[in-house]
Amino acid sequence: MRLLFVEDDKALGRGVVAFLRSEQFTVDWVTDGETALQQLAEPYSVIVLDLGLPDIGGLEVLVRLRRAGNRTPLMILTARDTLKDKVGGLDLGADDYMLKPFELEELAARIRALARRRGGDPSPVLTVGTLTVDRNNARAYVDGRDLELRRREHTVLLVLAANAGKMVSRRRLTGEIFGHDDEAGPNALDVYVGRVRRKLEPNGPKILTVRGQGYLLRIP
Amino acid sequence: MIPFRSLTVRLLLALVVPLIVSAALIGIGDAWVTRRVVDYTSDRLLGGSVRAIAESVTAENGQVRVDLPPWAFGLLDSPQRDSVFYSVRQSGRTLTGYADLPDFDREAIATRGPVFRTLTYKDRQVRQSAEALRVPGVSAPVIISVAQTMESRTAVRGTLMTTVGLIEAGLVGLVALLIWPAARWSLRPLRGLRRRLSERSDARDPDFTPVAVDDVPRELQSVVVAFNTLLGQLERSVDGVRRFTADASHQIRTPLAILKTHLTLLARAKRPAADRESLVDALEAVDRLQRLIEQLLALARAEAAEADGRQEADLAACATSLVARWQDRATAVGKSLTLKPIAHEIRVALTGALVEQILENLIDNAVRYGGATILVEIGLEPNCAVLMVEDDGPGLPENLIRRPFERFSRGPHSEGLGSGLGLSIVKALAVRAGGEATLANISGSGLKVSVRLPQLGSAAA
Repeated sequence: MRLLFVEDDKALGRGVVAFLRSEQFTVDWVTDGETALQQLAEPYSVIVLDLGLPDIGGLEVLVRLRRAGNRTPLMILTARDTLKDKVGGLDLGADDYMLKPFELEELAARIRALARRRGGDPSPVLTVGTLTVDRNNARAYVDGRDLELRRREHTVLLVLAANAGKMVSRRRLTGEIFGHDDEAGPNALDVYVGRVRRKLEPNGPKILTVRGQGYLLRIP
Repeated sequence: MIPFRSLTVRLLLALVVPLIVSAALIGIGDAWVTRRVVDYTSDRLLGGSVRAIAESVTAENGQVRVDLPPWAFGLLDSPQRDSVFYSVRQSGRTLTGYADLPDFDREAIATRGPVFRTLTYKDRQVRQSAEALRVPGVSAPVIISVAQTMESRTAVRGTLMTTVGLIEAGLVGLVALLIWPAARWSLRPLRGLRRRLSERSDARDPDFTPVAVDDVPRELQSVVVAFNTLLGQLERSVDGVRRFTADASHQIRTPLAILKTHLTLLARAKRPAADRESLVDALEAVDRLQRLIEQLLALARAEAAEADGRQEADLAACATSLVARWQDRATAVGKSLTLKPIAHEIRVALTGALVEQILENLIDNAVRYGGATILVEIGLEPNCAVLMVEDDGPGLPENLIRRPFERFSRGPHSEGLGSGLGLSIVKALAVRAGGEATLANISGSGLKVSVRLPQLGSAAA
């Protein structure tokens, strides 16, 4: 799951990004509003936004983003604790509001919840035939067997399972698993899909290749 | 220190004292005029009786004859019955009358018309008049002289002066009586202003809007303008304090978040037991700091009187929901938390959030430091609702019993998350609502905290 984290405080950013990556998120971290707005074309699952940014304020970023038609779930993560700030932020189009200091576990859980709601399916577990994919702890099972997926493998499987029976484009999958800082060659996606395909065997659902376009998880 | 601090008294004195002084001056003038007038008329009467005697003087063969007419002294009759003396003399020889009546013939002869003087005769003060009469056929002038004691003059003068004095005193008194209501009437706008200002200071939430200058007496406008300036400064400084708490909280929250994030990350990795313990201690300290910041903010906001929402809450409902919410936490540390059942609602003049904050702090304290049994009780006293939280713990040493309400004072064995602010928040909130908070050791063992809050009419009302 890929998310955009907008936070100008370097020390806090480093800690939070390290934690979120350890929680199987793909994180793009930017430290100012303008850069954040330039990222909007990317298929983020969730945006986490600090309000006190050095160039344009977080609320302004939020307003511009929504005006541009971006509907990505967004969480405000800030030190502003007054009722006015909270109400203002939520009314301008934020989906959640979290105060600093916060518990890292809670932050991760809320981000996952926002991502689930976006897919229109708030349940934490996806099921396709014998396959179950757990959104929360980055695990997947076939008939109770743990597939022992790595982070990106889990993301690939999750996206395919969420769109089971439909083709998912290469571009979308690449966007989901690689952040800007990741060096990804043209065949990197195929490597991950290949690994997942192997782990699903023998009794899991099959991943089909639509040559040059994308992949599809077949519903058994 | 100004003498006579009442403006009414000052006004009264400023008007009545000059009035009395001018009445006294007028009195002195009156006395002088009265004396002149009385002397003038009395002298004319005295002269008249000299004239009457002179009319009766005739000459026969160079001999002077005096036929004293019986009415000659009638002019001098008065209720005071003055003694009257007379003499008719010629060339130093007394023709008739008192021979020892001192003469002032020379002055009389030198003047045409009557002359007057005051002198002592037979040990009494008398007024004497004399006139020289030239009788045809007689060579030397005849001197007629009449003297009269002063009783009637003094009496007339006294009567006149008393009358004038009484009239003046009456006038001064009357004016003074009229000035009193006049002074009060003039000062009425001052009372209006005072009332408006005191309404403000009685209000629970400070009102810093300037006082309207238009409907204030002109003399007081500069005072009101100065007052408004002061209000402005006060508002700015109160704003400053509010902004400071907001800024401070904002500035402290981010570093806390950084600490917490990195410590959590460090604690997640596999580490030797000693390192883990240090990390857990550090994390607890961060939590304590966070709680302290939040309590400080709550206290600052309670004291800065952030007026939000209705100033009314049901104490019974708040207590019920809060005790339910704390049940698990109390059980987790092996304590029992019970609320004595209440049948009806008890409305208090405080927002629900603040009532909950009071309750939360009290229950938190009891769970943290108190004994195994905690009882929450709500009762009524005349005009106020009482909230009591008691436990059967060790209580507090007598010398500390007043201190828990002070900021940052923590009990003797306290450890963990307590910030030392809980009870001072409780007290600040209670006092702000017009109530009070008290603390007492229960005989035997235990501690009982009581918070009294003004009641908003009974449930039946």
